[in-house]
Amino acid sequence: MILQLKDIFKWVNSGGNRIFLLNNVDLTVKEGEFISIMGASGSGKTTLLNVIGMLDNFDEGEYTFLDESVHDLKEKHRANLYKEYIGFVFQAYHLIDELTVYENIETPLLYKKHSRSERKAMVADMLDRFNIVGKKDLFPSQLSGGQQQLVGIARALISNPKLILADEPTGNLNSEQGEEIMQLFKKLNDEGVTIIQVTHSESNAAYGSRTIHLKDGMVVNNQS
Amino acid sequence: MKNNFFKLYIRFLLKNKLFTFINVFGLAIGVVTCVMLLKYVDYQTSYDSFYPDYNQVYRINTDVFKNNQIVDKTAKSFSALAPTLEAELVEVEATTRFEHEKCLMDYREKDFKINDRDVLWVDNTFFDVFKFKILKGDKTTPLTRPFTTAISSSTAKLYFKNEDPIGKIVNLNGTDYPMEVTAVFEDVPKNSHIKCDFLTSIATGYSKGWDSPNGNWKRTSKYTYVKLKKGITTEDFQSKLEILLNKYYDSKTPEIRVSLNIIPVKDIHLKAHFKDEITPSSGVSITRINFLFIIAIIIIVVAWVNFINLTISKSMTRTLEIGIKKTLGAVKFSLMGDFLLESIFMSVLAFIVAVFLITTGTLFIDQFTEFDFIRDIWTNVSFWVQILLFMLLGAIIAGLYPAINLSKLLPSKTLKGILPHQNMLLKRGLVTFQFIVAIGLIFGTLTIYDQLTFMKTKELGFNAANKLIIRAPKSMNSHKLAFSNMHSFKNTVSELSGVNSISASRSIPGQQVLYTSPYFKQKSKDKISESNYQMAIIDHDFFDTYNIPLIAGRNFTSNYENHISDIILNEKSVELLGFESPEEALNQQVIGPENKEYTVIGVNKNYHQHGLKSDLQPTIYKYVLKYNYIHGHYSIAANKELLESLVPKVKAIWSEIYPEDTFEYFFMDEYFNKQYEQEDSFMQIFLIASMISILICCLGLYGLSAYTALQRKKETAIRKIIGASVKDIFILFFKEYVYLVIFSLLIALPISYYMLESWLSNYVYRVSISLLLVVLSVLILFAVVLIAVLKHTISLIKINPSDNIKV
Repeated sequence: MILQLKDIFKWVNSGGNRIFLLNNVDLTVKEGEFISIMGASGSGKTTLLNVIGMLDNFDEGEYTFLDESVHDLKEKHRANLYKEYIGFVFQAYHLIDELTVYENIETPLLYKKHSRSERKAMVADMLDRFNIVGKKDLFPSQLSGGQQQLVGIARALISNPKLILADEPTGNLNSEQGEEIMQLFKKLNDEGVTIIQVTHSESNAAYGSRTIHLKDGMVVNNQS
Repeated sequence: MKNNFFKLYIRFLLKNKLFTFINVFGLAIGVVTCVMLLKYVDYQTSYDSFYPDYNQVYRINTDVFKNNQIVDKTAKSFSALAPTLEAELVEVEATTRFEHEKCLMDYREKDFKINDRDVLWVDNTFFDVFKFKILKGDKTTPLTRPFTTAISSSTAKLYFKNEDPIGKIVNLNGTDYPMEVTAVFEDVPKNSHIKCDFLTSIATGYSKGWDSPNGNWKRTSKYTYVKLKKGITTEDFQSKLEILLNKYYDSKTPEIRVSLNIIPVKDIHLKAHFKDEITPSSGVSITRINFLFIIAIIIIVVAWVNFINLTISKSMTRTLEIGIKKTLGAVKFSLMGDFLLESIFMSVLAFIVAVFLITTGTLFIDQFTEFDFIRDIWTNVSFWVQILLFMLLGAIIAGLYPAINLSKLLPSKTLKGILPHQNMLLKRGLVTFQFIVAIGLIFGTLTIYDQLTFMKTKELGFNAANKLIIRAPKSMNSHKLAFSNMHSFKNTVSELSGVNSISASRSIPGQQVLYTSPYFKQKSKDKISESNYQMAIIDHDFFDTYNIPLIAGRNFTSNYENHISDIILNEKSVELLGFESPEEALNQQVIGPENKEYTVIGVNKNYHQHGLKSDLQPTIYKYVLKYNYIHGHYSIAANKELLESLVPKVKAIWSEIYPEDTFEYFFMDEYFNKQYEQEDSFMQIFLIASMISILICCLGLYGLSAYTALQRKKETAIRKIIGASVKDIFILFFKEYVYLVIFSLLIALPISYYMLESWLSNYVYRVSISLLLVVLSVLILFAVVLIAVLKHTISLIKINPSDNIKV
């Protein structure tokens, strides 16, 4: 088991009303799973992903990540936890425009204690793995969307996370590019990386081993 | 569209209070400072250019050379020069000469007298050269007869109130000179090097026998002005002048030579700082005025850069608004118009703030009150036009960049929130420029302050504290009782309790010594030294009164008749006369002017007669003797506690011994520091100007780093998610500025070092540029950068990354 959510609530107060963003969510994720979260706009998919990624707080409930109680952790420890074990992939890629492909992939390593030669080897390895060696000196604006997302994934993987969180990773791509990215996810999952993705597309969800449907912050079914 | 343009913009400004404040305030303060400085520069350069044909008028100065070394530059020349010029050179349209004297002027009829009036003993051609308007009285030949005077209109008001001054008698220095007022002339403007309350006819001197119309070629005793005919070049006249000099002047000593030089009257104020100037060393020189001019320009450029930088940065955050406007039908030109209109609106706000700053007198007014232009600032149209023009110019440049760049953006992109690529080079360039200015000015300010403190605190070699100085009685000039009265005054005062000693001397520390002469040498040596000696007239109490130690020999004694041919030398003149040591100089013979022989009886330690603005002068002290006792000063050294209470007691003694004269006193330390007054006021202007431009730079930096932080919000969020710590983020932001600061240092330090060196080289006693101050300036700049960056980085770090990366 990699993580477990128990009775998670998250809300905002608007006027006199309490609006639930997450409503009594229970979720257990085992190592090596590939989970898709689906639901209409505003159903709480991204919020759930942010809570899992510890980018956002929740108001009530228990969250255990690799046997650590996240709800008891201080902000700083929480940050250390997600930096160590979680990689993020975004719909809009979120590469740093002023850095080259190589530098973008290298950035996470700069914030950990890796020597220069180590970094070089790791980035080279990643470029090789994704077949983008020839693009390493280009800037994000010189790449297609699919290529940018490839770089985004490479950046997420460079520090060997146990879990990849992907928020509509193919949302900005055409179907062919989307297909490639999903194939890549599948391959990573086969290699042992746990993946949780938010998606609108049934066909993307089909790559996963399990789909969770959300409606108004509640899990409506949890099918394998 | 236009109806809600202002509504939209005002709401935008109110929403962004910091931006609005920094932008409006920065521009206003910058423009006001710049225009004020330009006015000041304008005023200083406007000297002596208020009468119609000023560019034909020149003054003739004299340089004295000894063994071909220049030893003296004086503003005066030979009294025979002017009549000779008029007689022999056709190039000359008119000449005039005068001598300056501070006199006691007494209107007996009403028993109204004031000391120290500026009196010029003038030729009757004065008004031919200086076309001051004669308001009343004899308009053609007011100063031809002996014992006549023309007075300025403010003097007329002061002395005669509503009476008609023409024909009234004013006594000059006692009863011997009853002067009849023949004319009233308009006041000489403040921006003239000539200061006068009374113009008295030199014919008076002819009739009394102490001057003659033709003058002589021996001593440089008169200010000589010449008005050349139209079309005569200065080179031409200068060469004629040399021929004339060679024809008439004979120095009689082969080592000594003189040359005559002409200077346009309008250059006198800023460029002539010679000996014997009518208004000595004003502290304002052409280099300094140029400095201020450069600073004025720097300030306005910094203010504009600030305005442009902020406006551009801010407009980047409004791309969504532009996109929406475009989809609603706005065309490119109307958007450009909007941007320009916004900038103009902003500068109108700045103008209002500027008016406020000037009205409340927060800027400079204290420093500028002595100048005429401040008084009529409200009716000075050109001043306000300049201010408005400077503001609009900046506004239009600032509005143009976003107008051109942003109005062409595609709404399809801006609506999605894709920001246009910023021109980082431009932005970094502008910030670097501000850094360069800031570092230069901080460095300059610190160094100049250092120099001033040094000058005010350095040991002067005499004691200026607790000295009461009284101006000697003018009615006693060449009076037969002058000498005996002096003794009885000194004796009576010295018996008062609290008086430690009292001395009579021609000049006091802080003043120019009245006579200088190059004609001194050792009797036993043929060699003559290349210098000019100051001749100070003192009595036997002078050195004690000022605590100036004698290092060899003895002082004068009260028995003055023994000292007719005795002199005391200071160390500097011992050295220049070629004695090996002070002891060796004792009892030696020294030959002075007109081959008089003197015996050295003592040597005193050097002291700074003129403060630290000029070098130590070789000085030769002679005893106060009957015939050379002309008005000077009494110096009284007293106990600190009793100093103030002594004044009325001394005054009582004064009125008994000198009933004709006004009693005027001051304190030595205050008087001595007065010579730094102009220096101080100039420094204050410089310091305020520097502070203001530093302030503007800081405002700009603060505002700019706020927007940089804003724009890098997304990047920060990404970096945080992929593992950056607070420290990492801070270093990321700070590093960018560090590079800019270092780059600016490389440019700013050599330039400011060079400029400060040239500034300091004007001082004889100067500090060396200290490494400590360089380090301090760099630290100050880094501190400012650090604070600005820290403030905004902290605000970034607090935010939740998940709020900033949703698209």
